[in-house]
Amino acid sequence: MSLTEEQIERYSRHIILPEVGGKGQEKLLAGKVLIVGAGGLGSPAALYLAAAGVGTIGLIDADAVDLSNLQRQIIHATPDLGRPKVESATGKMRAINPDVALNGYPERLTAANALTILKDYDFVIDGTDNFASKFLVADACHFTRRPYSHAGILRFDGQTMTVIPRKTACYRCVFSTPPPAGAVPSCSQAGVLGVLAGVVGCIQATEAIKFLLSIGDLLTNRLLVYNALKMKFRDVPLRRNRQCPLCGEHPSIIELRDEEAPVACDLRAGGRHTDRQES
Amino acid sequence: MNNTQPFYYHLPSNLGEDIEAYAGEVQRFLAKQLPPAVFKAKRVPRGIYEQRRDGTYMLRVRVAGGVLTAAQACALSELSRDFSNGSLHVTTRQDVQLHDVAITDTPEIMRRLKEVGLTSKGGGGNTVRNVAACPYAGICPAEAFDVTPFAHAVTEYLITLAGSYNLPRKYKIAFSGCACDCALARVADLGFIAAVKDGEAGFTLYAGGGMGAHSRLADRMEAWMPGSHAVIAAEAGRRLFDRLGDRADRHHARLRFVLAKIGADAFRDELRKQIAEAQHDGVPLCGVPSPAHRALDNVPEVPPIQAADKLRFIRQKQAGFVAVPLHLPLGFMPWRDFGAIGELARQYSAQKEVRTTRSQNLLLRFVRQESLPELANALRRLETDVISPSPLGCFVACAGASTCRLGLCLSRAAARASADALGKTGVLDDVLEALNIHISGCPNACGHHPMAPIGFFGVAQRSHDRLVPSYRVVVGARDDAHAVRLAEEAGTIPARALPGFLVELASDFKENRAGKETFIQYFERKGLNHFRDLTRRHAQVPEYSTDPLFYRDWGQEEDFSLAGRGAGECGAGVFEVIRDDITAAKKALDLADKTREQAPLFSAFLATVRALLITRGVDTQDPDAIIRSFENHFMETGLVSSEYRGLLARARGYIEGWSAALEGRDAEIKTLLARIEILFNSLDGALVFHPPEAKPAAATQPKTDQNEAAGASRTVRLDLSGVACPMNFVKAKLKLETMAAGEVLRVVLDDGEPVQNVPASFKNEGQAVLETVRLDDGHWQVDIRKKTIKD
Repeated sequence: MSLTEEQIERYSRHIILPEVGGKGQEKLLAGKVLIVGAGGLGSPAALYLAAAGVGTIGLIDADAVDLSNLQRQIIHATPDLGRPKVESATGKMRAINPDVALNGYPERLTAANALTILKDYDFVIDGTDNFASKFLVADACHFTRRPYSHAGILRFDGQTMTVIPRKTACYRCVFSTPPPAGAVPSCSQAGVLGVLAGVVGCIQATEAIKFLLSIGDLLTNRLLVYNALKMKFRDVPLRRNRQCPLCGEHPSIIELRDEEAPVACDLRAGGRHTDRQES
Repeated sequence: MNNTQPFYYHLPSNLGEDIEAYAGEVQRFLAKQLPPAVFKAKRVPRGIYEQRRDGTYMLRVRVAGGVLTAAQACALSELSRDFSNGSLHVTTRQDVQLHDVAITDTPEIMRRLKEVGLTSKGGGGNTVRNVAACPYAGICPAEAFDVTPFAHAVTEYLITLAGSYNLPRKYKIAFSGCACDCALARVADLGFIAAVKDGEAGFTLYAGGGMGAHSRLADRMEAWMPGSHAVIAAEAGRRLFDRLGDRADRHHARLRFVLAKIGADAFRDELRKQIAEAQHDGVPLCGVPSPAHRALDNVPEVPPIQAADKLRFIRQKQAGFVAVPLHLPLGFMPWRDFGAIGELARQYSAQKEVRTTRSQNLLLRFVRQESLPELANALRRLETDVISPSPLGCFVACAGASTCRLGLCLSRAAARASADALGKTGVLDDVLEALNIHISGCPNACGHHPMAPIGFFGVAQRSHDRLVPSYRVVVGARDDAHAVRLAEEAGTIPARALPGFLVELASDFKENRAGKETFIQYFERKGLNHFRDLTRRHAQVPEYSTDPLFYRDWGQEEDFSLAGRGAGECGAGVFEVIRDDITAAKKALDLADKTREQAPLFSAFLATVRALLITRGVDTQDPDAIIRSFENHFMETGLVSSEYRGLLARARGYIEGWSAALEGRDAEIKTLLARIEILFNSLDGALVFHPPEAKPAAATQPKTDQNEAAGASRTVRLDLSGVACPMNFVKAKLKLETMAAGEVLRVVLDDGEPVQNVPASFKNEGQAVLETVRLDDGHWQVDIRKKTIKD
């Protein structure tokens, strides 16, 4: 047993669980999760994964903390305004659990760096806020064969699914290409309930933990749709799509590329303003 | 009974006291005052081994130089009648073994052996073992001189020394009278081959030979040394071994590993230094006989001459005397026959002795040729047919898995099945005579396969995902004046194919033999490839559904399995299976490197984690179970770092269908494989790992102690007094995780909440709470048995 006395105490409530135990906790400590985006979805995921003792957590985000973020991005606080999000977030995670090794990437995930970064992780949490990034994460996970949790939120609605690339239905099996620019409103146009990010981000963290522990049933081949107003969860069954451009029988996407027309939440800046990866 | 016959050498003067001290230890062991492991260390150097069945013992009597006086043979027969299963066994090192002996009787057996000048001291363990000698010594026309007195002198000197019973490993010495090397001196730790120089009797001295999982031919240390220095040289070898042998690594401790490590020249220098010191210390000189007149044109007839009455004999160099080889089927003989041979030796042998041979047989010597018909009649009255050539007579086999704890295959059953098959095909006597087949149940070579013209050793191999009892085929060993070499491997065949293989081999030999060619000459003419092809034709293992017999050893009712034998009992033969897995892992890694495919990566991973499980008695095809067992036996025990948990999780993901789970993990699998190889190389004969680094393991849990007896009955204690809820449960649970299924965890808990909660929590987890007892001091003691996977 390599758990220290302090770790035994810290993780005692995990260890008590028959499905986890000391061995499971060691698996978590050996696990490596990458969170793309330190925003609304990434915040709760990062905090819980750090608290859970996931041994290595990577966090990639190119943005700085903005006042409008604080309504839902709970890993950041008022004194952090203007700080790079990666720096702000890793500070909190370190305070929660110094056991965790943190890798901050204060940059945007692109076709150029995605494969290199993803290779170091066991599981990816997609906490991005725009379609271009979501497709990039899906594609990069396909090519690096990294399982990932996809999620998206808008107004009072959230959706999430877990993908084991080449094995279960992927993001592109369901949504083959990003919608045309303007077809779907962004968070900053349409608004989003802050706590919705918390609920869905926590589901993503749950999936990562279950994956690392190899327990339970992952949210694969189904899309979980959540409506906060009606307080209803719905499971939409999915199947792998033979025509999927990524993992189908005759894929058209054979290398990683940035999607051209990213649609983002933030309308504040004009032109190429889509560096931000938050929800 | 006539016990007045003189002994050839003296037993240690303190042997009587030693036997009584041992008798006291037996009493203490029976009274449970002496733990089994401690008692084992007392009995094994005295030649007493526990057999495969717990509580039954084998006692091995050293027969120095293979010489048994008529009185000794009779005494052994009586001991077998009175204390053993009634069957005596002659070993390939010329010892005589009694089987199925009760431990309580062993002191009495020792006392009675002592009366006739015999002892089991040094019959086993890390001691000076029986000193072997050519059974033809003193009668062979080709010998330089009779080496028997030297075997006795060396025995007499060494068995008295306390230092002979605590060596790094066993120390085997052999004396041959000529380069024919009938005593196999060139595969002994220290070997003496008689040589005459300028009319003086002496020896060519060899060292560092041995047969086993790593066989080695000895190196020549001295082209010639005076015969008077034989005891000095044997003592020098012992001192050298004592000083340089690797006591930490039992598996590589034999003298041959010392020689291989420091090189022949350094070894020779060291040996000469020790010889000079031993001489200086007053180690006695031997009396030297005047060399015999060698009648080089009068070499012994091989095969023996067959007299008109079918009794085969060998003409001695002493005119008018002959020696009669007596065949013991696989070395066994009922006590009655053995005693009768003793009586016949008294009656017909001018020296009143019989010799044990390295082919597990007996040789009755100094028989007057004119009394042969009378002797033949007497021998025919024995229960055992000791005189007719029979197919079984071609075979030498060790005990194998029937009684030996290291055995893997049932070598004797395989020999019998093969002999039956040869008998049915009606192989001619002259072909039979030329075949000399050695079968060892495992790679440890007790059946002497490395020096066999035709040899087999038991291994396990995997086929169609099941274990198949199998034999590695070796051929072509030779040890005589012309050449000395170990047998070479020709391939592996399933145990079931052995009789068919031998029948084909025999008919191949019969049809293509040139005149009276020996098998060795035939081998040399045909070359190894001829035998490789023959082996290949018998190597196929059909699928289980086609022929389940292939998955069952000879003489076994159940499918071959190492799992049932438990850890520590399956011995060195499992090394083959481990090696196969390691090789398979490497191949799969290479393939994965080339193809970038995931399937070979997973195969490599699975072979890596599966490789060593066999040493823990786990043999399963289920990948999940393989990974789980690996965690239990190697990670929880600290043998493998828990850093690899991530890899294991990924592999589980792969099993569940995540095909990319192992992508990019090649390097990690390689380092894990490297670790597995380190552990494999550190494995000793008892299947215990001795990795190079210190193991902190149990020492980090100061409050835990574990009782001595291993296995499912082990109880682990954990004192949790003063530890509050829920940390008491957490700690108990973590401890339980490190234990094997079926083991019992005994925790001490505080009164109140702890004793109310902790047992209930374990019940929730499906563990069996055996007992909750209130202790005198107000604490509670709770026993929890770890559930098995099936539970």
